[in-house]
Amino acid sequence: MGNGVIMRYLSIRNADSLYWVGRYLQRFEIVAKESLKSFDFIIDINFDDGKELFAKMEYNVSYSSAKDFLHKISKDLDNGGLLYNIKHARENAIVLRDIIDDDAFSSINIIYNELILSDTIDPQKLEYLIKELDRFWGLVFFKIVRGKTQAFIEFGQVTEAIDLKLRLFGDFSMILFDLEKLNTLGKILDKDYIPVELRSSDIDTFLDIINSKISSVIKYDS
Amino acid sequence: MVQNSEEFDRFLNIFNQLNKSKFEQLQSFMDDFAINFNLFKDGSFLERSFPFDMIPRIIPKNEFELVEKGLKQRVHALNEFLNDIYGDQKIIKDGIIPAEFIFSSKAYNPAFHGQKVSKNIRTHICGIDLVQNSVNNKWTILEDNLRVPSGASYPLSIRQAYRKVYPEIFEQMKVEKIRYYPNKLKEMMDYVSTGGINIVLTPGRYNSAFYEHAYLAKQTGSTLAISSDLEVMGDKLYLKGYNGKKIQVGAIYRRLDDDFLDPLEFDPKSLIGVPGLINVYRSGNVAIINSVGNGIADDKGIYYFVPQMIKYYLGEDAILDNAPTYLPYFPKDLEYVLANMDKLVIKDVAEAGGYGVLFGYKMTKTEIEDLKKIIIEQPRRFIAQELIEFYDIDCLFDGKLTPRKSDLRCYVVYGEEIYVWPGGLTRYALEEGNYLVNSSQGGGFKDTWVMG
Repeated sequence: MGNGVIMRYLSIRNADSLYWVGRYLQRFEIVAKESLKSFDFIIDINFDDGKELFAKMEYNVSYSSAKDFLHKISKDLDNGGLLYNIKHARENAIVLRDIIDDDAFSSINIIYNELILSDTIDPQKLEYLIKELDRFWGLVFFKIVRGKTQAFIEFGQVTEAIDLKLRLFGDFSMILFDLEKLNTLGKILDKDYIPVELRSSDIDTFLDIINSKISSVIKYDS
Repeated sequence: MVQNSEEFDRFLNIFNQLNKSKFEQLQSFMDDFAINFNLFKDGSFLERSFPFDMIPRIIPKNEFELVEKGLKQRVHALNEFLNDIYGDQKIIKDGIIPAEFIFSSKAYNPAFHGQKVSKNIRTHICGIDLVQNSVNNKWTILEDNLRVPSGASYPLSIRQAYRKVYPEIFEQMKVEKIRYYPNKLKEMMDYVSTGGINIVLTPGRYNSAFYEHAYLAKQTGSTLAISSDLEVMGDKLYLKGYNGKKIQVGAIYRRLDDDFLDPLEFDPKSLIGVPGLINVYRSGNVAIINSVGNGIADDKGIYYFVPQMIKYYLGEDAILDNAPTYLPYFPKDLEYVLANMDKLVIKDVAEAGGYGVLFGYKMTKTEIEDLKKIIIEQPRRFIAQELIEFYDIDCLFDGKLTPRKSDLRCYVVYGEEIYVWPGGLTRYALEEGNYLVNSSQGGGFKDTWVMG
């Protein structure tokens, strides 16, 4: 409080943006990695692999070749493609520039600039962008002193990981570790947090619960 | 004409031996970190990195010492003026400034007459624009900015990059450190705080200088807030914490104009203000930086009177000159202005950011005649200034040093004491012969090195 001591407080808006930075970046990462796998399949194993992948995320994509697939997914600004996700991550990060590490912000910005300025996106370029994202995660999470800033990003990241893994693979055993992590983070952010238990076998119902957990951590109506 | 100095020659000697391939690292730094000064053009928002030039303006130590002394004096007097004009109004009663001249200004806000401010400081952060006259070598004041002067973050950012890319320059030249500016801001905010946290209030992400708002919040340890992050309860202001807690705010460094600060007090359509904020301010429960109503002191018409203010409040002669200025409000000046329009620069006192500035020599006869009519009808609305011959500055275009018009914005922080930042924002026009260097007019910037 004032007079000589630096203390930074997280507003409702800050916490919400941190959460969404984590979600959009996690979605970017999973979509990028799965798109690289599909790229390989499209070449000579299953031409429709890309369509099948994105249908699970409720996106329609059409392409004429593996290269065309990767390009469209990378440049897509409207339907949940890579540019869409990084743009939204960046918008949230911009309003957090007073809070997040400068180098971490620059990683998001570099990915965005590369995607928006490059004429073509090939697998090597995409791999480079994924490495840049790794740099972001490293800069944010591997700090000696960690605080709620990181915890909110991580809460968003793990929420998205659960969401996408269940949508893409439909296998609850793949999210056990993520769920444990989500509950640990929830407790760090809110002492009254009620952990999510893996009871339902209905994915949609379970995802509704997971996706609404942030509302119990951030007191939006206060 | 370009002015050079021994120090500048020394810089060039070092600069010419540098690895030029590393120049690109400076531009990459601006792009990667999105060091932006955004523009609105043709109704669209343009995100763009602030154009910069890597050749710094270099000011010899003895020259800056005089500037520093003059700025301290000027800001001190301007603060006294604001306390007086919203208080006893002695300067009017003593006939130094005509009453009508104050009360006819849109920037004077009578609703704040009698309003006390924390520690009697109103001019917390001032951006004073200067040029160096090429006829007499003197630094001359062009304009005082006592409302929301922007720009300090850009030289701070580029200096940091410069030191990383070319440390050898700073090893060989003794350049004054500018990194303490945020510390001085924080000390000032703590000093005037009424108790609580410090906030930087931004209009939001689409403001031209949003980068700066976030930068200064981060560097001063303040919380960057938009209006919806804040709430007035009773006569206090609070930040709404994510966990439902309300954290009291003691000092608010606002980056929006008075008109938008509080829709209950000013423009009711403002969506970027905080409803009830002015009530908190009136109750003495928050310090607003800079104070409400400061516009009267940087009104272009009031500028004319600053040397007289210095004499009146401090009993001293002004150390730094004003540009020769005429007030059409005075019949004698009006006569001169009307007879010499083609040689003068006419400024609309209500405008800022390079808007409302008309160069007589660029105007047609019809335009001059039309403007004369308006000046005769509304003499208080304009000032006229002689076109000062000031030094150009060398900028690097296509690898060649090329002269450009420029000015220098110096920053003064008024807290427990008055601090003049040993640096500043040098702004330059991108086009040859253009006198308008304002960032909002598309000008670029360069760092300012004061020699130690």
